[in-house]
Amino acid sequence: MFFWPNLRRRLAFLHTLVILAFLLAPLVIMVPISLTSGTMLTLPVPGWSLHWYEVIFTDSRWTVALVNSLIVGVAATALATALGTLAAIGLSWGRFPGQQTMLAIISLPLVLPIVILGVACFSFYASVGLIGSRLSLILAHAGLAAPVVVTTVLASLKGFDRNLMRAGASLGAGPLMSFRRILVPLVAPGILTGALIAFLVSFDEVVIASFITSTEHRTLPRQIFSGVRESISPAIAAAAIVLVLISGILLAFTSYIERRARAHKAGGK
Amino acid sequence: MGNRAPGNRRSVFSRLGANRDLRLFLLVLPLLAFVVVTVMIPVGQFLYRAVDNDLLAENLKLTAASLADWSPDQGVPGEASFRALAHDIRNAREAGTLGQVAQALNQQITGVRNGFIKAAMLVDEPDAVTVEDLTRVIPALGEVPLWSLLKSAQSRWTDFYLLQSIDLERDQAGAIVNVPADRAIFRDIIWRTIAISVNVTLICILLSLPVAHVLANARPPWSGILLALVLFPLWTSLLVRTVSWIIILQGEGPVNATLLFLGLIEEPLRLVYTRGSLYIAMVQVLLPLMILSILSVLLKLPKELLRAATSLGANWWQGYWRVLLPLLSPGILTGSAIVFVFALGYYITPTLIGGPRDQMLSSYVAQFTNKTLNWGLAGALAVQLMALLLIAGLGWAAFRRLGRRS
Amino acid sequence: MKSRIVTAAALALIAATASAQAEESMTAVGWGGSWNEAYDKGVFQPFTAESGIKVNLDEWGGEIAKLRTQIESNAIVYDFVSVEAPALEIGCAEGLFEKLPDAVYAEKDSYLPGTIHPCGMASDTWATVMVYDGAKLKDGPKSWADFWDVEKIPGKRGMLGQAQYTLENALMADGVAPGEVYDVLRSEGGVDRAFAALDRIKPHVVWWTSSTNALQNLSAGEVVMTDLYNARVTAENEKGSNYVIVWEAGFFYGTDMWAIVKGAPNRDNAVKFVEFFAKPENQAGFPKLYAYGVGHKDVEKHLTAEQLERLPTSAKNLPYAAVYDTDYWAENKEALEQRFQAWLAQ
Repeated sequence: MFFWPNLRRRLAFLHTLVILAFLLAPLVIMVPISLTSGTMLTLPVPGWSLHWYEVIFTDSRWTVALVNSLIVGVAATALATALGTLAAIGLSWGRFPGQQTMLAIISLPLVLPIVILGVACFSFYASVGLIGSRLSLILAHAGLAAPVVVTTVLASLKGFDRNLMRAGASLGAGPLMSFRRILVPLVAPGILTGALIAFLVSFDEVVIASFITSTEHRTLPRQIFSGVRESISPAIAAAAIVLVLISGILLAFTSYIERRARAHKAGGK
Repeated sequence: MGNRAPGNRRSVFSRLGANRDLRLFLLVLPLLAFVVVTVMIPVGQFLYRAVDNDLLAENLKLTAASLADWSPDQGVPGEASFRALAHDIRNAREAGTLGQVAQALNQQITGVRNGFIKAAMLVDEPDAVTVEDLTRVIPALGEVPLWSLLKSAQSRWTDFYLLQSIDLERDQAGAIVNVPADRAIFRDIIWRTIAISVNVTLICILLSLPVAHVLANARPPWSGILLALVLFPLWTSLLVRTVSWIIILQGEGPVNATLLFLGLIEEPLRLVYTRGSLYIAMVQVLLPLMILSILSVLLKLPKELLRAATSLGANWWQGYWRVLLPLLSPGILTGSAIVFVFALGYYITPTLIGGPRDQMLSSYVAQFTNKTLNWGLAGALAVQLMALLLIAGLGWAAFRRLGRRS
Repeated sequence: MKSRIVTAAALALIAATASAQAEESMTAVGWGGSWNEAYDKGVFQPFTAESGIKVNLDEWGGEIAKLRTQIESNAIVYDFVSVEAPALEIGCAEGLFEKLPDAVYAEKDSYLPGTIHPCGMASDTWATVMVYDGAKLKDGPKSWADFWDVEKIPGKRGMLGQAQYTLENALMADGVAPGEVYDVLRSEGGVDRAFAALDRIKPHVVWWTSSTNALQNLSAGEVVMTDLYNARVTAENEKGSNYVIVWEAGFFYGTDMWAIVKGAPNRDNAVKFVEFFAKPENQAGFPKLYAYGVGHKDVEKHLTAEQLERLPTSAKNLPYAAVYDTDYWAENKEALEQRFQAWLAQ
């Protein structure tokens, strides 16, 4: 049966559709649940209502969580992007002993089981007296997200022609000037992608948050998690949709910026 | 790493000065220092708990010293050791550490905790305490194992927890033996963790291959759309997706409702809180990573080769197996490494969607840390988890080297 | 330019996070979900109204490791926590908790047994009970022996996947009266007897890990009966379900305790709360909203007959009850949970 290439292709296509349905089902299912007029997480829904959106945008527990998530996400992203970009430039261009080891150490938060990282963060931020503060979560998330920025910026630096920097220098541009005028625009897509993923890493993180945050600084995923374990209400579906929408908007925004950057570059030539 | 055309490098170096590498290193330093201080050292401290015996060594100094020449085959030691223990208990009571000491001893010999707490009331005059008094409140003092444990406080390190984490213990003579079957759980948990991770990886490979081919062959507008659809789940909350599976798979969820409607089953299947639901949820999360890894290799292969390999008619399968698969192996290998390593550390998903028998190592690390305060055992299990990661990492590196050479 | 704005914004954020709050407050930690809601509405809000002290209500799963670390590193966030009785025992011995104010502890004779301790007072008295869905099962189980009898009432059984509670239930099914369960467990071969009883039911059990998934299993008909915390059942019935609690089968109840964390940053406010909470009319705020009891004997004067009847410690239910033995579990929990896990994996 498999020796007809056409049939084979069709089967592969069918398989792909099934896989796509499988990948997207958990996201799609949240839409009707979030619009239910009932109080249970069950399908089919008894009726339609925007009640649960009202809950998450008016109930202080949810609004506080949403605001906290945004603050922590933005601050952690800023920190991770700054540290990660610098480190990637250093690693990409420099040649000094132990580079591989350094990259491995920097990447450690990416591969460490999250529970071990959570316990480690807990004991560290407790020992410096920051436990329960928002700052501790920002720092922890920055550490978790920085390797992602390093990876994306390293990748975009691979295609970077360093002669441009040399040209800049020979035209009298100081290192800072070359950095801002030549390097930053060219690796910007890499930085931007890294920053976006960094934000999502922080925005979705729940284990470290549950180890080190207190109620007033709880984040959206942490609020969902406690909801799931204790009393499930469709509010978590509404919150989930909000999470997905924010991710989607950011994703669309980045691809727009990237496309514009590419068009700009092409136009410049 | 980076682009390394030596010729270029020299000239740029000489212009920018000899300290250039130092300056570039200084760019790496902030992040490096940050990770070392906030991650590496704390993780190291956590793992060290697996062998840390400081608490007992600090608080049972006198007892341990009195047992220096004692060995288990001599039976219960003499009065001097009882007296030393009474001193230690009083000192620990004064220092406020008796509760922790009693707890730590109880972790190794069940049932001695209360005795030590009660003994605190007897030891106001340690030198007047008799053997009978102490043995009355702590009956285990009439037997050898507790004394062996007390003697182990001579060392600042212990192998108890590391042994316990692989279902081993020391017998009276000090030889390492298996624990009795009714206490052996950790090997099972470690195997379970490995098995779940391996299975998830294999399922991901099988499901990914056709998808990667379809994506690689799709024409422009579609290729972008398909890729975006595959990637989209990556941008959404892991937590949310896990909760969704609970809703989809539960007794009255859409899957059961459909099967009932079609008459394929007569009563709802038990789908959620099983190993099966755990696989479904984990594969859904990790599959896009595997597809991406394979796709990135596939797109680099010449189209003609693909066409040739897949249009062999009857020998298609052989062609695929012998020609294409080896070429794809770097992508499969990288994807497997990523999926396997992520799967090993899974915590949230098994907690929410697995039953008690589907919990993985991470869950037990969290449980022993948080609930029972058995930090030694939590540390030892974390060591096992890290060892698995290390083995996976080394295996991946070895395979990659092998692949490059051939 | 842009980068400077970003930097400035990041700095401002960090500065904003670092600035402390000025108003009087305390951080209390409960068990989350509807438990927290009931405490907030019934007890903490009246307390804030009376004292002006704001209560930040956090939640946890009783992980006293968090307390130990906070205290050891002198970075204490929690002021006031609800812990299981065995944890209070351990924590009190370890010095994790402050002693209760003398005036409060002096009234210990007005409290039900096990609900007051030098280090704490009851936050809630809960029970694990047998429950079935009255809408699905007309002639439900009457005893734990019925729970074990899959021929009499066919179908799967839900049980919490851990040794504590399960061993007690198994011995009750084996004919041991609730009051004698710990004597049997402590005696030679007692634990083996419990496991032997569990062997008989094992193929028919769906193990649960959180009360939410136990409830879902029950409502979805995946199990016909289950063990569960009584107040979760009552709360569901208030939403319109018809679950039946089989009190008369025998049940065990336990107590969670409020305790002030040693070195709490808002210790004085926590002490004020303890003094507030020591008054029975204030304690009654919780059982009015949630089917768990509290410690003071006079609380019942402030409850309606209906509110009283649904408590594990009500006159109607108490004859079928025994108390979870915190001493026994403090010593044996780890070893028995390990044996239970090994048994589960067989």
